Amino acid sequence: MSKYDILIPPGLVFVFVALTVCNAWANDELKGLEIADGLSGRAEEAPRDSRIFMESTLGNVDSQGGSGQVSTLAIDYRGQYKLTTRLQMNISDRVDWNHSPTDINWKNTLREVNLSWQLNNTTAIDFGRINAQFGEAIAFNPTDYFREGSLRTVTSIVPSNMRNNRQGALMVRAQHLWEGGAVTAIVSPAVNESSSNAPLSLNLSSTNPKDRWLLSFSESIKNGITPQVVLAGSQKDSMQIGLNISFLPAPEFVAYFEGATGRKRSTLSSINAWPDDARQRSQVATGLTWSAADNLSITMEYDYDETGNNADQRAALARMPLAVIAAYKTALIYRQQFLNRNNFFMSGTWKDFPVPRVNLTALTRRDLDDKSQQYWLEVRNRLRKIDIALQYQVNSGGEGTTFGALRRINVLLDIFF
Amino acid sequence: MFNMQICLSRRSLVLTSCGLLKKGLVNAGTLGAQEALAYSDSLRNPSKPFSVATTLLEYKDGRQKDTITLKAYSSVSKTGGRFRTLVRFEAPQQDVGKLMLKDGVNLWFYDPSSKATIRISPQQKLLGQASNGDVVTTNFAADYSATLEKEETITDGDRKAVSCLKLALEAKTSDATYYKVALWLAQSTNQPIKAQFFVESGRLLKTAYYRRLKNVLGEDRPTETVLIDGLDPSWVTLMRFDQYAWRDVPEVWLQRDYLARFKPE
Repeated sequence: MSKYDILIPPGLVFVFVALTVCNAWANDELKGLEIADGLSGRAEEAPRDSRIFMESTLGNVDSQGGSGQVSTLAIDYRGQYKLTTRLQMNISDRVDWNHSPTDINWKNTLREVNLSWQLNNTTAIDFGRINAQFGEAIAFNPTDYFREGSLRTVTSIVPSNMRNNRQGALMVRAQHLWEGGAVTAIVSPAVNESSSNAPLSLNLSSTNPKDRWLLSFSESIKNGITPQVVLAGSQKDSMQIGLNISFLPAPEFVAYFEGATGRKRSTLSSINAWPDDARQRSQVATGLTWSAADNLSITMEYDYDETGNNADQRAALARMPLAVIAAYKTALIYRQQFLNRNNFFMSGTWKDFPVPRVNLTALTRRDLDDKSQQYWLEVRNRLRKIDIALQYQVNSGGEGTTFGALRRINVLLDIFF
Repeated sequence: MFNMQICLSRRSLVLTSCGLLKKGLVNAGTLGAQEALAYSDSLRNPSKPFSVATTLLEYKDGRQKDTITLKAYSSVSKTGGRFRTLVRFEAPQQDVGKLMLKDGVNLWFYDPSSKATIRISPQQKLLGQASNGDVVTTNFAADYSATLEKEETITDGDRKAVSCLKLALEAKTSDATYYKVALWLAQSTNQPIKAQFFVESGRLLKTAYYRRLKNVLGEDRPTETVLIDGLDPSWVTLMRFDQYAWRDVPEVWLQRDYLARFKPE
């Protein structure tokens, strides 16, 4: 018997198995093609200029501020309309009804109503109520200079949802684009009217408290990195300088940095609960987002706000009446600023988990100075024109801390028309 | 690990085992391979700015799942020859008006509700097996080096036998979405027939079949791409391309700062 008589049988088995596997794989691909043949596209509606949806929540809250059933109902509308080839109108409005253990109210938030005039392919001017947003960070945006006074109703703790419900400021905005860059200039006048919490109030005293201006400049430098420099100021404040930059350290990672610096008072000093301490102060938000191949995305962000309280200020705050602390904390939420200086944020989204059309989202926020924490979890089922979600929130921390103690569970229903 | 290149026609088996013509093919086809790749790119993607409606349908676990409808506006960059594409979501209702801008591996996502524009990873999945890099126009020749591997007869997306040139593509820029690609071009027309996409470990990520040729914007172009998952072949994503039209897409619009004011025609 030659050596070939020994080798040939195993070799034939190897080839047979390999061909069988290959054949099976090829058959699987053919089955995949048959599946594709049978897929039918739904007859979708023609593209529309507007979107309207209704959102309702029903839940229960247990907190230091009150316990009991909470419910909300909102109608949300957004539309873009071309009046001429170069003139466009934008309208965005939301009406919220809120029922909580301590309050029943309704409010209309006129988020935007403005005209946008495209002079040519490179230059445009907008005027009216405009929701001008800046910043690449997720949880905290130091360069978002028009965020202050923009929240009329806090509908969610999720940072992106808070941005959805902002009211814009009256302004004139001009933008000029070139290949790889842009410059934007904004002038926003003060509107002197008394503050009003009336349901239909335009709330201009909040969105336009003082004369403000902003100038931003973006330029693509290398590998798609496009830093944005933002300068902003007002009649009452020193000029603030900000920077936004992001890049891909690897295809599955997005790294970002957002920072601003300028002469400012601390938040405690700004409400006259601390001596005037105006000096150069910085705010930073920097983070990393990782995206896995299977629809999982995780973001971690560190936020630093030098206008927040230091240890001495925290000690002074702890000695103040609870009502003052509560009002101060509420004001900070609406101003979208931190109570203390060092904060951590982490969020994760897993699409189609555990089953298709179900998205799992979780986030946690931590005040690294007073050690209070916040956790939030949502399981959302996205149907054709309906979203149904179960939300659960837990805050842990002592009285006077950023998050305090709270438990909340909600069922949410969105219906899109 | 089984070498899938064993899945060959009898003729190719002989050629490979002899090892004689293979060397000749490589030498003769290297330059031709890159040109063939560039030509197949031009068949998939019109050479002037254009718009196209894209429908993505997903089939998994034995039934049809999600559907997404997009409108894409594409233009070839003056530098690098790469496509830059702006995609607008038109369905489902929850996503209407959202925008995605792709320039190489740089992707930006704009949400008209939050007015926020953030950078996102090219790895993120849009629907099913379709990543962001799949639904927008891709110019393989700009990001991959092609070598001619062999001649091979394979089954195309319409289940017909087609004589093909099999190209091996290796990423040559950091903008390439995939580490390696195997691409089959019809020998007579250089039409793309099939592609397999691999990660760095060599694992097959997905297979794409290009089919349903129609004459649009002056050329016969595939108007459907079928994506089959590399691990689960019953997980299928179908991309349909429709409503091709020449469109004036100024390059200055294809940048982050323009997204907030984009209004479709």
